[in-house]
Amino acid sequence: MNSLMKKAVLIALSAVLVILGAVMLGGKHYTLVSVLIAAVSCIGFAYAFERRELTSRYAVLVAVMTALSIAGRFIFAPVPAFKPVTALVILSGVYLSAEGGFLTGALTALISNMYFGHGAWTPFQMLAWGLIGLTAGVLSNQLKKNRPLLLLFGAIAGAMYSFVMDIWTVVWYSGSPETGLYKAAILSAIPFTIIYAVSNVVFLFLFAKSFGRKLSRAVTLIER
Amino acid sequence: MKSFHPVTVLIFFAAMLTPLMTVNNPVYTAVLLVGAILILLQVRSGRGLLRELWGYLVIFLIMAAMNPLFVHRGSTPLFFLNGRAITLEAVVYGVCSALRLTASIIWCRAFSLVMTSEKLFCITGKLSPKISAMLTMTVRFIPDMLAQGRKINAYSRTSGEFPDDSLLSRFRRIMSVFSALVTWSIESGVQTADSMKARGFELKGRTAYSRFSYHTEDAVLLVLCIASCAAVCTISGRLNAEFYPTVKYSADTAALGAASFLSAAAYVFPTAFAMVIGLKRSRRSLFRKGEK
Amino acid sequence: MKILEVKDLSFRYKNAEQNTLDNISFEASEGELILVCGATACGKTTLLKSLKPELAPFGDKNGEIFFCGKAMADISESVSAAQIGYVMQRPENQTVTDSVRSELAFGGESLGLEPDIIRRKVAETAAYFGLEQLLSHRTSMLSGGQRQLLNLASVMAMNPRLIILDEPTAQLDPIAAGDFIRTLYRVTRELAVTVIVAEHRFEELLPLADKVLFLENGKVRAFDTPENSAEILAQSANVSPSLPSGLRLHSHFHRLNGRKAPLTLGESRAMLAECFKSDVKSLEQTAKAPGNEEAIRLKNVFFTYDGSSPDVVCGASLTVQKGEVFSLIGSNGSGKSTLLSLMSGIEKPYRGAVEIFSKSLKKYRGSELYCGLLGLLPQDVQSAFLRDSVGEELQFTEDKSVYDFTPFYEMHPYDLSGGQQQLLGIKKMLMNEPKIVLMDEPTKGLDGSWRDVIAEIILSLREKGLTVFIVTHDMELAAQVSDRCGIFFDGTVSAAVTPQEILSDSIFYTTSAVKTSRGIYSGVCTTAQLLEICTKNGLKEEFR
Repeated sequence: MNSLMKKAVLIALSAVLVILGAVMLGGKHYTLVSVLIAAVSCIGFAYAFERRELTSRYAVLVAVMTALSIAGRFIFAPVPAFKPVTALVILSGVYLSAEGGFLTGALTALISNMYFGHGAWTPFQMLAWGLIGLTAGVLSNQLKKNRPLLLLFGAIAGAMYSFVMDIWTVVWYSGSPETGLYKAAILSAIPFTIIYAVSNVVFLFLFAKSFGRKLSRAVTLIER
Repeated sequence: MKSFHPVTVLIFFAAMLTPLMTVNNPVYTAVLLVGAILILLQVRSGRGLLRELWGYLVIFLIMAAMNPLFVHRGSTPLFFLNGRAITLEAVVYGVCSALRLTASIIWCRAFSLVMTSEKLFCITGKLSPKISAMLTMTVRFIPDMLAQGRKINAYSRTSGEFPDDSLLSRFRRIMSVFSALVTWSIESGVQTADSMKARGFELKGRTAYSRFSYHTEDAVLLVLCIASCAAVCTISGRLNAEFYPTVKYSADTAALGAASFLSAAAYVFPTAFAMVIGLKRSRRSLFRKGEK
Repeated sequence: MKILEVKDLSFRYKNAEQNTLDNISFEASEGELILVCGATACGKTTLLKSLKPELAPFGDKNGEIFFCGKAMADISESVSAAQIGYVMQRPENQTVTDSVRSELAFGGESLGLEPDIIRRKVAETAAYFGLEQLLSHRTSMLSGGQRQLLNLASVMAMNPRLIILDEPTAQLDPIAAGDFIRTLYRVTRELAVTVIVAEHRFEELLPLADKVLFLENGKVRAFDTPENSAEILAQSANVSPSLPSGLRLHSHFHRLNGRKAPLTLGESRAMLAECFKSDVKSLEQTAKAPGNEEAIRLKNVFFTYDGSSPDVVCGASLTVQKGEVFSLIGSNGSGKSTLLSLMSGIEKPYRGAVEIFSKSLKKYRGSELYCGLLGLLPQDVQSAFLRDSVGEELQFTEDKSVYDFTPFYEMHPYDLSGGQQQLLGIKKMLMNEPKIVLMDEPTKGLDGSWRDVIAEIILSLREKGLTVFIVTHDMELAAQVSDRCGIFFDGTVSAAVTPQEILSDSIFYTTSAVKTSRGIYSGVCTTAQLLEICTKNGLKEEFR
């Protein structure tokens, strides 16, 4: 855990705090504020990342993971909400460090919106997925050893992501917190949230073991 | 819009979306909606346009209906549905916010159309050439992975390893395909890494090349949109309408006029610029035809 | 001027028992084209990677390498990145970015050059390699040949003095490969860049190369001009099947009393006309009687991938008899592979019908067709590997036919050599004991000796009564194995006749043996047949 990572964690945490603060205080324009903060923290991360030494293998692996999670969205397109994205972001965090997890998450959001449409949600989505990867990376040692914990983490991360994004979208749409709309949003979000959580568990269950092998193959290939 | 520098494009769209999120005034929203459609028409090719606009209308109607159905605040009940009041205030608020929503969806759509990957990488390249390189790599991997995925999928259907057509067998097959794709991607990624390393990716002081450059029109547009955004946000307090418990439209006419004018100026400029350039281009092609 | 000098280089991988490279010494001057050759696992790749500091393998290294007079260990990272270029086998995997323009700019960005300088380099490289029209294209839309050219161009954009290429044309079709090799030659002659290339396309490269470096088991067997090394190459059992017919003939008849080795087609033909008698004009052909049971039948088949684009297959009709080997040849991207996916039921024609054993493909249920009737070998054999070890792929079978993979059961399929991967694909294809096998480019990327192995397997399948349908642009293979050949062109199959008939009067769809013997002997398609007819005729007196 180098100083860069600490910075990234700090930035991310402060972002979350400010967003929570903005929502709880019922301050005006919190969707705008949250977008701005998310954008600033992503920019801060990019700035810190540029100053770090980067091997081509690492860069490629993060890019491959990002591309896979987006390609996965297309490959599993026939099954609604059943997507390997979050699972791959988590695996990336677990096996490629917290920083790699953050990057995979953030870049996945940025690029998949190139195909599915950008919006004010882009920075927010980048931060949200980035944080999932980052957390997975921070908990890497525990998650590698303890499979049920990994599955649990996947379920929670998937559910949280889907839930927060849906609510946020509704808030952004309506412009002000209306309890009635909230309820509707929450109710309609629940089935998706469940499929999301389940799909994460399924993907992690099927891939977690072989994935470590596949990645370590890349390492031996490099050393050959 | 397409001839502007990517950074200008990004700031322009941000400057158009920000007041849309902070100001709640139907007249001003309408001004921005017109702008969104203008820019969309400018960046979009003609095919399927009507159908797309129709789609926005549907979204508008659904969103406008959502609010009164779920929110029952307000002091003027119009009628009762399942014992809950549908109020005039909720209807008006619904229409206003649906207007804002539709406008911002169209702005975002126009942004997605203008912001091609090359433009996006130009912006990220200014921030971090390394991340920019990773982004362009990702974008190059995706079509290759999809092509390989199709190949593996086609093979897996004929290999006889997943003989029956049951749902479980199909699920197992698609999972094997994805797993094989992961291995293939990592394997070919290692070769990509070698190729990058051979071309000095690990050297210090990477730069980012892009073929975009700033011009006078970029400067003009930047000044226009930053000024309008800042001004509108400053006076936004005097623009907002109130909806509950009763609709109170107390917007300052002068402020509204100023805000509308500034925002309109910001989006009319690139539209006018594109039109002039377009005219010059088509005149050139007319001459060419004459020469032949 | 000496660009590269290798002195007594030895190399051993960690945990390996033997040296992979053993006392290798050679040198390369400015603007030279050096061909590196040798059998699979002779140490070619290890040697080439050792010459590029960024990719140098880990292990015990002895000996010295000098680049432009400086020890390799002393040159700076930016110099080695810019001045030593490296191009590998698979074109797709080497492109880094998504557009041609940014790919050409990639090296300059790494060196930290100013945008204006990068712009200039991109411009002139694109112009030199004829890529200007493609600048805004996505790299994934390019063909294999264009992509490999782009890889070379983006290395050239960094102004290298030495370019190292490891089998750059293995994945390309013959036309693209020829173009690529000629471009390499241009680079050495016009820009004085030194090129070291490992390849097995001797027919194209031997006339152009300045030196040949022939490796065997990690040792230098020959480092000399092509004329002088040709004899040593021809004597090696592993390399000689890849050589053009003329050279093999020259070696088979013991250098024809000291005659110079024929490197070009003209020299080979002159040799054949001058040195051999021509009493026997042609060989007796024992044409196999066609069977009378239809295995595959296409009836007026039409197919397109999407309605708005032109038909890939339009009105193709074809009958393949049970027990015959049928080769379909045709240029790249002509839709040969599409025809194969129509036959295997992956794609469905929008008009016309495909019949397998006189029963429409539609009437077969999935399991029936693929478990015991049809076997498919895809063009990219790696797409056939769905598991993480060779053993799992073969379900740990005890069967040792085709190739004994038991020692490799723990390995990942990708870790096998190219030829072994192909055999693994074939073995997997035969697991369900199919009656018809469809093979898409079974010799892609393989050298002559592996081609002979594959050809033998195909012939043994025919012995067993299987029907074999091959799609290929490897004319040598088509000549060696097929009972009948068809040409796929313009969406239809034209001329389903014996290989002799097609090969002997084609300009391009033909083999080295036909080109050498045309007008002198007739009906000679393979090098083996050429050797046979020459032996029958015998040498003229003065060349004995």
